[in-house]
Amino acid sequence: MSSTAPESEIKPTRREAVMSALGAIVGFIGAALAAPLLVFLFGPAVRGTTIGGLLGRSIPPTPRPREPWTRVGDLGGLQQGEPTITTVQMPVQEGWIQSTVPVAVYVLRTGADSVTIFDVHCTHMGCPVTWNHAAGRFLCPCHGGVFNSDGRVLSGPPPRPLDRYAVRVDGGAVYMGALQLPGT
Amino acid sequence: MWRRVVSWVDERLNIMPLWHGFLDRKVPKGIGWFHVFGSATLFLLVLQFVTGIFLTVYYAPSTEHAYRSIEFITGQVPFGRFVAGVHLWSASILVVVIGVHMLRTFVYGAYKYPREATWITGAVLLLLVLAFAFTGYLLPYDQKAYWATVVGTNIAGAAPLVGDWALRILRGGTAVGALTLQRFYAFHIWVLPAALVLFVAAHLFMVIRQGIAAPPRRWPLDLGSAAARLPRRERYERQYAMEKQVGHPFYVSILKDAVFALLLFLAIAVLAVTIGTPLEPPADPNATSYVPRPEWYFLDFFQLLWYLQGQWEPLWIFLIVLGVVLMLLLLPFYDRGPERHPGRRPVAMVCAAVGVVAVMGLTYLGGRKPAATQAPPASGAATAPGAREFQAQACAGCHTIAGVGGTAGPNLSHIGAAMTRDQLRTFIVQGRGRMPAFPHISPDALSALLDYLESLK
Ligand code: HEC
Repeated sequence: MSSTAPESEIKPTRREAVMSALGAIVGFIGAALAAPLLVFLFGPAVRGTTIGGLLGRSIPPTPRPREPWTRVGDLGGLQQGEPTITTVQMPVQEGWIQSTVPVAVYVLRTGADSVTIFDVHCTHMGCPVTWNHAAGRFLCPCHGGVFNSDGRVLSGPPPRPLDRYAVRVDGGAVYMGALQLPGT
Repeated sequence: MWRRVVSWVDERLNIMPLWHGFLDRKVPKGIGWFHVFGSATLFLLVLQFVTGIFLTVYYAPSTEHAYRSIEFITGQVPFGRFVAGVHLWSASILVVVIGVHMLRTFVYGAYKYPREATWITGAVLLLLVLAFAFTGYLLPYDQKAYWATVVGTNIAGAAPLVGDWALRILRGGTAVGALTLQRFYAFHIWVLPAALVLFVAAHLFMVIRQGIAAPPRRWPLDLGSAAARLPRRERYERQYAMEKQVGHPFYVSILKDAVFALLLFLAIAVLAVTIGTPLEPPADPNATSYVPRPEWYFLDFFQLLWYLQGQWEPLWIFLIVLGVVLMLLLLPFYDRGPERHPGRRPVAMVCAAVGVVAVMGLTYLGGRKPAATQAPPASGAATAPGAREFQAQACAGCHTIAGVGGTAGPNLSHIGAAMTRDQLRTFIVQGRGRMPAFPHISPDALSALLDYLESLK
C-alpha cells in the first residue's frame, strides 16, 4: 500500500516519526544527565534543609565550627554590661578544607556565670555591626539598624535580634558552640 | 596574495554570495547613530571574552591566592594593568551601553510585532550580564568583593519558600568562603559564557533574519485601501519592503558602528591605564568597622533597601525583583498596541522616563560617599573635631550633612538654625523614637559634637 502512495504524502509522516524518536532519545539522555548534574551542583549546599516560610531571611556568612565547643577565653577577663569584640581561633571545615580561622564575635557577660555570644552580622543583610560605646548600642552602617546590648532590635530594618552562639561556661572558661539560627 | 587565498577558499565553499548578501542587503532609512549601541554591546562582550580568557592564565580562584594573583597581574605582569583594567572598565561601560540599547529599542517600539522574541532574548542577555557582574566582582576577593557577596546572597535569601535554598546554592553552603569563590568562578567563566554565546547567537540570528526595525513613523506608510484586509504578516512585509526601498545598503551604517566601537575602546584603554583596577584590602570577614558597598550598578538596589522596612521586607524585595524581571521579559506581551512612534505612546514614554529617573536617582543617592567612612565637611578648625565625632559616633550612618551621610534620620545640614544647644544635647543623650540615645557619650565628645551641630545654620 505504502509503495503506491505519492512521495509528498509519505515523507512528512516518516520525518515526523524519526523526529519524535530523536526527540525521545535526546530527551532521555538530557534528563538522565541533568538530574545527577543538578544534584551535583545543588545537593551539598542544601543538604538537610527544608522548604522555608513565606518570609525569607538572611544567614550569617560565618564558617561553621568543626568541633562542638571552641574556647573563647576566661570568664574573669569579661566586663559586665559591655559587649567586647573577641576573635576566636575556630577549627572549621569548608568542603575539602580543614583549617583554623579567626572568627570575630561579640562577647557579653550577663551575670556571675552567664555569657552571651553574638554573631557580628546584622540580621538585615549581613553587614558587620559595631558596638558604639557612647550609645550603648550595636549600630549597622548599611541601612541604620540599631540593636541594644541584648541584641534586641531597637530600630531600622533588621527583622530579628542579633544571632547568638550556644555558650558553655566551665570552670572559669567560656566556650562557644553552634550558631543558633532561628528555624533550623 | 590575500585575494588568491580568498578565491581559493571561495572556490571550495562558495561563501562570497552570503557575505555580499549580508553586506549589501538594504536596511530602512534612518538607521543611524542611535543604532550603534547594539553593535557596541557586541563589541564590549567580545572584549570581555578575550581579556577574560587571558586573565585566567594568571588568576588563581582560591581564597588564599585570589587576591595576591590579582596583585601579581596588575603589578608584575607586563600589560597586566591594561588587561585587567580593560576587563573591569568594559564591564562597567557594558552595563551602561546595554541600558541605552534597550532604551533605544523601547522608544522606537522595536520590540513589537514581529520582533517580540528578539526583545526577550535581549532581556535575558541583560540578566546574564548582571549575573556576570555579580559573580565577577567576588573574584578579586577583596573587602568589597567579600561583603557585597554577603549582602547579595542574603538578598537571594529573601525569596519566600526557596530563599534558604537559593542562598545556600549561591554560597555553596551557609558560609561565604572557599566554596563560594569556587562556584562563582565556575559560573563566571563556564556557565554564564556558554549561556551568553547561545543567547547572543539567537539574538543576532533574529536581528539579521528579520532585518533592523525601521525607525517609527508618526504617520505610517500608505499601503492602499486594499491592504487593510490583508493578514498581519503580509501587511507587515509590504510595509517593510517599502521601508527598504527608500533605505540604504547595510554596509553604509557599519562605519558608524566601527567609529563608536573605536571611541569606546579608546575611552576604556585610557581608564584602564590611568585608573587601573582599584583593589580594596584583602577580604576580611572579621573587619567589623568595614562599611559594605556594592559596585555602582547595584547601588540603586542597595539604596532601595533603605525604603523597604518592616516585617514584610523580604517579601517586598522578592516581589520587586520578580516584578522588574517579568516586566522586562514580558514587555512585548502586555504592550501589544500597534503604535510604534513615541509620540503616539505617551503612557509607555512616561513609564520609561519614570523608570530611568528612578534608577538614576537611586544610584545617585546610593552613590554618595558612605558617611561612616568620611567625616562631613566642617566650616573651620573650631568645629572640625565635632565633625570627626559625628562620624566616629556613627551619627553620619543615619544623618546627612551637606550631601554626605545616611538617610535613616532627618537631614541635619541646617540643624543649628532649628534647635538650641540644650535641645540638641537632650536629643543626643535621650534619643527619641528611632533616634537612639547616646547616654554614655563622653563630655568632651558631646561638647565637640554640639559645637559642630550648632555651627550648621
Ligand atoms: C540609627 C540611626 C541614627 C543614628 C545612629 C543617629 N540618629 Fe539622630 N535621628 C535618627 C532619627 C530616626 C531621628 C528622628 C527621630 C524623631 O524625631 O522621631 C533622628 C533625629 C535627630 C535629631 C533631631 C533632628 C530634627 O530635625 O528633629 C538630631 C539633632 C540628631 N538626630 C542628632 C544625632 C547625632 C548627633 C547622632 C550621633 C551621636 C545621631 N543623631 C545618631 C536616627 C539616628
